Amino acid sequence: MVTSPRPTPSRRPRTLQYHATAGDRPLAAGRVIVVGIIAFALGALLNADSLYALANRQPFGWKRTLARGVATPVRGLSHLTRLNEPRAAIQEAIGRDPEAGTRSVSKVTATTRPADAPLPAVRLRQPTADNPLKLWVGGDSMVQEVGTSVVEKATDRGTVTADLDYRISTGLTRPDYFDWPAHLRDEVLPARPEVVMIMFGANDAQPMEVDGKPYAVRTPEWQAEYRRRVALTMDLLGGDGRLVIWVGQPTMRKAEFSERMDILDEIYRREAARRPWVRFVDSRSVLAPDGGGYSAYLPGEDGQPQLARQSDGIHLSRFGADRLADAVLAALDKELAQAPKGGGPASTTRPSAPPTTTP
Amino acid sequence: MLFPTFEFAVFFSLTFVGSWLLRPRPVAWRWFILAASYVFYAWWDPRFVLLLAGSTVVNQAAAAAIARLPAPAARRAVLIVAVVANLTVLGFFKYYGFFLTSVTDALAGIGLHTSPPLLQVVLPIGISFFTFQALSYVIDTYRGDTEPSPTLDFAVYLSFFPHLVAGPIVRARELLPQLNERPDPRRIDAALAFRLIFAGLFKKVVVSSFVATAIVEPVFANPGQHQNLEILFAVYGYAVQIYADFSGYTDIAIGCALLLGLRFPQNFDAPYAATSIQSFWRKWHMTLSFWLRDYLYIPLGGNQGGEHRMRRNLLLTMVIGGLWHGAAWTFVVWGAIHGLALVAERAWEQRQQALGVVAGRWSPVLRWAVTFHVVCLAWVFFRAESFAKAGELLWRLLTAWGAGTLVRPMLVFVVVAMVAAQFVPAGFVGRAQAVFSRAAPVVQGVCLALGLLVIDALGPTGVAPFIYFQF
Repeated sequence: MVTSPRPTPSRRPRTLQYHATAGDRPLAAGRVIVVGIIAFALGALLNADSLYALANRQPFGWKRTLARGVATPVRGLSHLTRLNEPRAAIQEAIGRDPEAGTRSVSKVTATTRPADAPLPAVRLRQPTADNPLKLWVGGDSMVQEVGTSVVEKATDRGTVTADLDYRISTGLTRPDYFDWPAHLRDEVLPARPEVVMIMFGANDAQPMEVDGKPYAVRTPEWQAEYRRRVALTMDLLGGDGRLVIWVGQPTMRKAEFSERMDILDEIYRREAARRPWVRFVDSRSVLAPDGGGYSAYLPGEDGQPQLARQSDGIHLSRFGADRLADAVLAALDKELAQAPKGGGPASTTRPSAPPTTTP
Repeated sequence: MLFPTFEFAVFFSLTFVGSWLLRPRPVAWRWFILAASYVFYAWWDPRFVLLLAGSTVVNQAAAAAIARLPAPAARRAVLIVAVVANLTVLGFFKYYGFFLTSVTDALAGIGLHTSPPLLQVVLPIGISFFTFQALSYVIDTYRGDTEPSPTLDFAVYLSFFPHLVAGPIVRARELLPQLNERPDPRRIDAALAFRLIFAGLFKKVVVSSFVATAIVEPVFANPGQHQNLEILFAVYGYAVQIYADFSGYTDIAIGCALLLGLRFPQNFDAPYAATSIQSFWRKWHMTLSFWLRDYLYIPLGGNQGGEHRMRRNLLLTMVIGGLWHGAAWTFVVWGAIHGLALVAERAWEQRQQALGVVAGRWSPVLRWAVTFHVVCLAWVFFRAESFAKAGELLWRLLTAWGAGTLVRPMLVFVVVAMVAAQFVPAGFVGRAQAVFSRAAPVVQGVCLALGLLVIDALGPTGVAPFIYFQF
């Protein structure tokens, strides 16, 4: 192997002669390692809450246990030496919660309605430009596309105002990362939306902690707990005459992942069927209209194939999102068709049986 | 494996130590760097490594054949086969669906309805970058600008992880000679490397994420809901976002390579300070624009053959450059806007010279403003998901008068500061870097830790992929 002395800058191609380093003192590799160790060690203490939150976000399993095992003492030392405070001060200054993601919440904190509470009913009214319908659209990253389409199509009517509120990498299995029921209770419902469109699930097919023990998706324990959380969320959203449109997961490209989504869809469908204020929109029938499996392309209005899914085989393209948004708005229109003219109650649907969920 | 993640910090720390320990053993060092690069690439999808390895073998065989064959016709034939093979692979992975749907739509337009065999091809990350690097190696060998290197060297050159997935596009003659050097482990340009890495992290994690969520994403998703001041700042914001995102990535890449003793070409040089479109392309994604100049514009004829042919070559180069970025007609329009602007700018300058017009005092300011806004106009098509969306956005920019709610003081500050920062003299930053390089290790470590604090505290939870990964 040919070796040569370090070339002077002038011997290098012109494109490599940039950024003045003439005044710099080069460092030895050993010293770079020392600087790096100091930077990482002190940086870990300064950002200990963030590291701990990162460890918490990992899927349940040995990696999370290990990460928390490392992050916990670092966080303890950081709090002991108060080195966590500069980051907390910065976070508070920009309006964030410095403790976000560090709380050990493994149960959803919202509670379902008492069994003897009045049963919610859908009471929509005919919206007008002066008194538009209030629509809230939220969920995980799948909602980034479909929510955008729903909001655009709905607001184009001129009689609907809409808020889009999607949170990437969230769902119902990890309230320690983002507690959707608490968010709905504290941030969304106080604004009294008349229609809610919600979509979860793509991040939910991961192990879930139940009573301190992690369970896999296919176990009865996991499914019972997930069903409870779905039911709780649906119950939470009911009331004030509100219509809840719950959108199911589409078929995914990877068969194994898609089978896990089947499990979730079945839970959504069954729980929605038990609650007259919830309409379940089956995205599979929209995005695989022939009842077939995953399809990246769908025929457009002119019959020509259009790309409906993103390259990850999970998320929707804008065309696919538009198609699903049409189904969502069709569900809304079906309810609005029953709404009385003049703003009175649309329908007072009574459930045949009360919700059976328990906190 | 994304740069601004804990995984990459661990990966790079181990690679740094291993690389310098093995540097005295050139062959072992090469195998080590190759293995590290393949691990880095396999982190996304192990299957992609096969494609990278396949590209290495095929292009090395082509370069070796070109160097060995005496007959010019045979050499040219091998070159053509290699170029076609590279472009076919790139075309299949990147343009298959786009090509078929475009053809199907065109046929439907004349009443011919077809059912093409549509597939959703998964795009291997970074394929556009390493394909262009492989092409430059084979073409440079054909031109006699470089000698074929040993296969292991070429494999390291093509897969070297800092540039692998989003550039800069490093030429063979820039990196291969460095593999044969023995850099002194006592003389690492660490101050520059740290500056680039931390500036890159700040731009990507803090600036790009903030501008994207504060205004770019909501406005580009639903322009119909926003007023023209919001739209104006969304367009300016996207100019800032894509600069912060892409230059942030390449800063980190260049810094990581520097810490390993290797130097990459510069990729950005304050592009928004440019006072002409031509100057912009000498400052923006420089390794791509120089690549397009050397391997497309000049072979097309370049400036030779008269003004008309030169304009055609310029336009063609920019349109193809646009298509390189993505399989959509919006990218073609983005390239066409730049091509037309280059042509118009050249014609204007020739006219001014012919008339003997002397530039006025405010001419640089005016030229900067025109250049910046032409670039921003082109970004609208680059970012918009369809022509309809781009048209709606531009229409509302002109007609939907109002301030909206998204243009807040912090957003205005960030956008203005990022553009203004491009006018900061390099000497100022260089002096600060020199002071840092002479500080004690503890002081340096504390400075970097404070940098981590600021980036982490101001950045969002989680990191979005880099924009240029999709290209």
